[in-house]
Amino acid sequence: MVKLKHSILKDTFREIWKTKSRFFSIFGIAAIGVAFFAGVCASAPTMAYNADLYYDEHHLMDIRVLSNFGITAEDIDEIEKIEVLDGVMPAYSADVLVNDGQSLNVMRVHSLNKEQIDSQGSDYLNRLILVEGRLPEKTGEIVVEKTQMLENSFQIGKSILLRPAEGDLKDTFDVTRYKIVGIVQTPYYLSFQKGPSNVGSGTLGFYGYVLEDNFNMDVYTEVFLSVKGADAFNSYEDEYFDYLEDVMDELENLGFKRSKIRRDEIMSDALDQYDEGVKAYEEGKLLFEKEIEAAEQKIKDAEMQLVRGQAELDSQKMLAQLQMNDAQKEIDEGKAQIEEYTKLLEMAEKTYYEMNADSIQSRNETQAKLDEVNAELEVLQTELNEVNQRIDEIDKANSEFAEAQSRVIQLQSEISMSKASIQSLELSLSSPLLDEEQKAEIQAELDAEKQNLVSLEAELKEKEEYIESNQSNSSDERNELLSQQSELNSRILSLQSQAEAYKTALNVLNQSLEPFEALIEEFKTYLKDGQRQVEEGQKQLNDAKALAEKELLAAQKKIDAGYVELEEGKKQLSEEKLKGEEQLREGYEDLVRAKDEIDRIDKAQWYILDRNSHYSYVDYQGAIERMDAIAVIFPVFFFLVAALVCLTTMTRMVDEQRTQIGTMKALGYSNKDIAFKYVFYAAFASLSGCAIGLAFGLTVFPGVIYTAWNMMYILPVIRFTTHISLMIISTVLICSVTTLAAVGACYSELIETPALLMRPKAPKLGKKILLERISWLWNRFSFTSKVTARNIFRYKKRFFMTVIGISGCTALLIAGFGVKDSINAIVDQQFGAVFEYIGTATLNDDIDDERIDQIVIEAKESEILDDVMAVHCASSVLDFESESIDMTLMVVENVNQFKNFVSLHERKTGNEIELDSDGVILTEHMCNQLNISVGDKVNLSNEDGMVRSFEVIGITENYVNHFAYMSESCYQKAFDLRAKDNTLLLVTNQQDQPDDGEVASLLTAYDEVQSVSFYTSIRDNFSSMIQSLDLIVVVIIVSAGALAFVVLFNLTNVNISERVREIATLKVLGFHHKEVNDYVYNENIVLSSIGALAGLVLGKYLHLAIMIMVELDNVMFGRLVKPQSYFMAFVVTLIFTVIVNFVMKKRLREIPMVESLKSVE
Amino acid sequence: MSAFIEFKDVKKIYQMGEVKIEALAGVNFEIQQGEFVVIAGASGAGKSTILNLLGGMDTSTSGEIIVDGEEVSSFNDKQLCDYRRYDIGFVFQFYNLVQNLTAKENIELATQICKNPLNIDATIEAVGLKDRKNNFPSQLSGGEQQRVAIARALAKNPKLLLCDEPTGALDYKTGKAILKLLQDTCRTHHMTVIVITHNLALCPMGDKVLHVKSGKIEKMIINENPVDVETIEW
Repeated sequence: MVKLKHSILKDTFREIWKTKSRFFSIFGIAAIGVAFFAGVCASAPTMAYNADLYYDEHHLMDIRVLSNFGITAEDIDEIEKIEVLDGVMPAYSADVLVNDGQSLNVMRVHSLNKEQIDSQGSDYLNRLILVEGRLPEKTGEIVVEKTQMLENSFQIGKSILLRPAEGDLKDTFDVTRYKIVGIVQTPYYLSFQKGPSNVGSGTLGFYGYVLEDNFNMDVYTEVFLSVKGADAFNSYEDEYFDYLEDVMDELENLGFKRSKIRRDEIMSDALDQYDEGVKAYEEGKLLFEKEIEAAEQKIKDAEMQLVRGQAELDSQKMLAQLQMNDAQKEIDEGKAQIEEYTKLLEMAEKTYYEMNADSIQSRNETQAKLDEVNAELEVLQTELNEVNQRIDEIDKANSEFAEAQSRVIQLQSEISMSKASIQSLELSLSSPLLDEEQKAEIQAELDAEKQNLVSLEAELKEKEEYIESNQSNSSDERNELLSQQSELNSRILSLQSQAEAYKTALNVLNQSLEPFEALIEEFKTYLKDGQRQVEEGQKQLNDAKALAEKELLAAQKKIDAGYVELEEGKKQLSEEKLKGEEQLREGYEDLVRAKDEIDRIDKAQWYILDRNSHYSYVDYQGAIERMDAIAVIFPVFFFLVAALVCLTTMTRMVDEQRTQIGTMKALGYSNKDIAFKYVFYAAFASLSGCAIGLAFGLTVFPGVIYTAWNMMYILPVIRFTTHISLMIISTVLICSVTTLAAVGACYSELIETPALLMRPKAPKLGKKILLERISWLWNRFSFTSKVTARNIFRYKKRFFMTVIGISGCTALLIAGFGVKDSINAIVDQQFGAVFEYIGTATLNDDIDDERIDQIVIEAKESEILDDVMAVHCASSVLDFESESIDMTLMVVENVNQFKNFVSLHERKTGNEIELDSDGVILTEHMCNQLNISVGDKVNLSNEDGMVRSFEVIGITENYVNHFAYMSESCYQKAFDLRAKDNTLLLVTNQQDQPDDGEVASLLTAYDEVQSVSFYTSIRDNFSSMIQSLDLIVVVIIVSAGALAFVVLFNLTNVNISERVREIATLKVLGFHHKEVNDYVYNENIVLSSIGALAGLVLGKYLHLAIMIMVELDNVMFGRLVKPQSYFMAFVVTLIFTVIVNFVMKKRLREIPMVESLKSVE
Repeated sequence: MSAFIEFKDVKKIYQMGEVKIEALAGVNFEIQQGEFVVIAGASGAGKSTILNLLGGMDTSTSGEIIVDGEEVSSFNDKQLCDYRRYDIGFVFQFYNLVQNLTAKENIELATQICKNPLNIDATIEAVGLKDRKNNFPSQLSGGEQQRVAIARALAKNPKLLLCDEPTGALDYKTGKAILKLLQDTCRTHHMTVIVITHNLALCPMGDKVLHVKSGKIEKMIINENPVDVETIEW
């Protein structure tokens, strides 16, 4: 530069001092622009640098060699002959299942060589970093990774049991129970996502390292290699791979040679085995068919026999029936005869009764006569008896009279005697000699005697009276009576003979019917006999019948039992047959698999894999690339805006100093000298801005971004590296933009003559704008609106600066909010709109279909599960145009039921896709990645590694992981194998919302359920991911705010300084503060609104671009930005505007009115 | 009856750091309504300060300024603003038109904020710009622009028209025409017009002429017979 005039320098610095806010707006935009540009750009290289440093420090392998048949010791010897190799580390590894406390998960167990560790030689690759504890020293010890999630289940001191995914682990491990002795980390596994596994869930969950001795394998699984001098390169740069090219080729050749040898060996073995298998299968099939045939014959025979038996029995039955019928007939005949006889008898009896009635009549007559006679006889008898009695009475009275006569005599004597006794006694009593006692005795005797005398005298008197009365007629009467007596007697005698005659007649009458009666009696007896005989015959017949029936029934039962047995036999046979067929089918499928495997042996080779095939390396590379992509988009805004800000600011500055430039020019300063001030001003502002911006940007941005990514990767703390070229580039870019803007602004002035410059610049023409054509609208505008409207279109630079800056701000905000929306949307979409099921249960391989059905039914019956369905799941590889992707193949038998579990539909149209037998439905993300469209043919592998080609019949919305859905029939058609159900899809009860533990414990109660996993963990992953994004969102919002602020500040600044006179004039005209503010700020607000509206559109695409760039391999982010986010972005932008306006208010207020009186400079 | 405008011992002292500059050192004068007043003086004499105080653009340090019976010197910011808004019409040396508004719109700018504006079209016609009313300032000559400025001031229907060197940026002929316009306005509308100028040649045209020097009224001349501006030569 020309020698600086002292005064110019002085003027320049004074100018800076005077126009601090202008200086700082250039300084600020430069600082922000550079900080952003350099900071974000440096992030990806910083990530790469740190990762590579980590790799080198811990000897991450450069090349990994593996072969599908393992690496033999001879192979290793051959490899070691390659000179350029630094380290050769043959190793074993195996994927097993371990219980992490919740479910079974896949763990890859690697081998460690103790000597290598002890020597720390170059052969010890993928070195472990001990975080805690110690490395394994003997068998049965394991070190595991450092993770936050599983602190509880994988702790030092606890033990882990390795479980086989299928079969057993005998061929792989000597020891299956390990004690955790240490926690490690290794560059071999950077990311929490560890890549696919071909067992279990298909995703590698953990890793562990044990000593080599624990393995029991014939050949090494893989060999890790490091190349001399490779660590000098950054492995994320192409030079590194260029360097490896030669050794890769050499290994390739060796691999070709070695694998051919090994292949031939294995091939012949395999073919032999296969042939044997085929033979065994054929034999088995033949044997089975024969056996089945024999069994079928047997059953046929038995059936025949039964049929024959039945026929015989039937004929017997018929015969018996016939016989029985005859007997019955006879009996019936007998019965008829008896009936006839009975009728005859009845007739006879009737006749008899008639006859009998006649005889009885005559008998009765005779009897009556007889009775008459007898009655007469009886009267006579009575008369006779009376007569006899009278006679007896008379006789008796006669005797009594005699007796009384004799008594009288006796009594007379006795009375005399008694009178004598009384006299004697009266004498004795008068004797004085007698004592008193004697006197009493005699007196008594006397009294008794006197009494006796009295009674005797009474009796005598009575007797005498009696004699007196009965002395007359007794004898006459007696005589008369006697004659009567004899007369009676003779009459009786005649009557008696009469009676006798009648009696005889009666007898004759009675005897006349007797023979008839006897005949009837005889006939009756005969009939009774006949009846008895018939009854007996009937009874016999019945007995015989019952017996026959019993016998026949028994025979029938026997036959029926025979049939039941036959049915059972048949059923058994069909079961056996089915089982046998199943076995045969399995055998056949095994053969199909084996054949395919053998076919693939042909394709076998060594796989020489560099870091491009190393999951963690590639995964992190993805992160770096994503960061790089963002680095392109984001700073563009800042750069563009920085340039525009500088341009407008410098133009304004030069405009303002027009007169001074003219004066300087008039004074004879050269153009260069004059321009120096402005160029220097711009350069100085931007350079100092760059310095601050670089210092800030290069520490903060890579730090924040690296740390944010480390939420998903395990890497050591950040180590900063210098980014010289980046610093230079960004500085040069910004400075050249600003200085060029200054030069440009000066140039337009400097070409004019001093005279012209001394005069005020013709003000920019006021112009009519398009809006004025709409006069009805225009006329309604207040003058402020008119001014605003015209101003907006008058200064195009400012318009674009503001619109770009503000739209950038809004777009950034939308992107920032949108990133969260979209990732949030994954959860909602994936687990709301796509997946109805919330988890899966993995079943044992050996479970049969019936048991699955049973478990499904039982699980459905439980309250907590709404629906359960069994499907076949397998980890698979999709191959399309030589690109491949790991994903999950789901084979569905009941396509209709499946609709309740997964909604297969196109994302954009929402149209449902039918799963038919023609092809496969793929998920959207992998189709995007591999450019697959409907109708393409893709190759898919099944669980056995067989590969077939399928037509893509649909692409379905899906966000998390990759899936291929196929119907059972399609699978069977393609692979000639049946897809065995091995997974249950679970839909929980919506109302109860059971937690995972409940569901898990329900299902793990079945022995056949291997593990239960839920999407809850994926959801949690996403929410932690969203949290990590918060930091980035804050960065975005802050930078968007900064952008808006710088732009608006600058715009306002320029506007105010340009319109000082106008504003002062307005003030003089009596405008209120508010009106003055409006006059200036309406423009800001309108421009901001236009910018913000443009930003809404821009933001949509920015967000889309970012989403696509930051997308993970196995997760498609949503494309959704919520309306709220648009709204928020818009509002926040306007808030920034309002804040700037508010800050600038003071400046407006301070403009002195006297400015209006000044002349135009 | 008191005067329309009255300055009573008005002082204005600017504090410039340590230095005090007395712009006005006690100014007294009276102006009657409808008078055409010329305030003349050399640069820095204090005539602009008088204009600022009278126009409500600045406040006095001491003394009383009474306009139409109101004590303007005691007004606060808000009152001053309203005072400017409703009572004052201002004509600037450099017209101070808003570049982005047409002639008519520039007048509207003023009329939109005051209470009893005059008819815009009539005002434009009165200043002789009927045909140019839809032109932007940059499309007008200096004299035309000044006419717009005068129209803008008049349209507000102010009590007082203040003109700061209205002819300062104009050529002789145009300047004369403008002054004529102002004088005619004063006469026809009976408007009080105060013209500030450093051109002493203009003195004869005022009803009252105030000569300002070193912050004081040096002398006040009352012209009984003010001459018509067209007869003045300078």
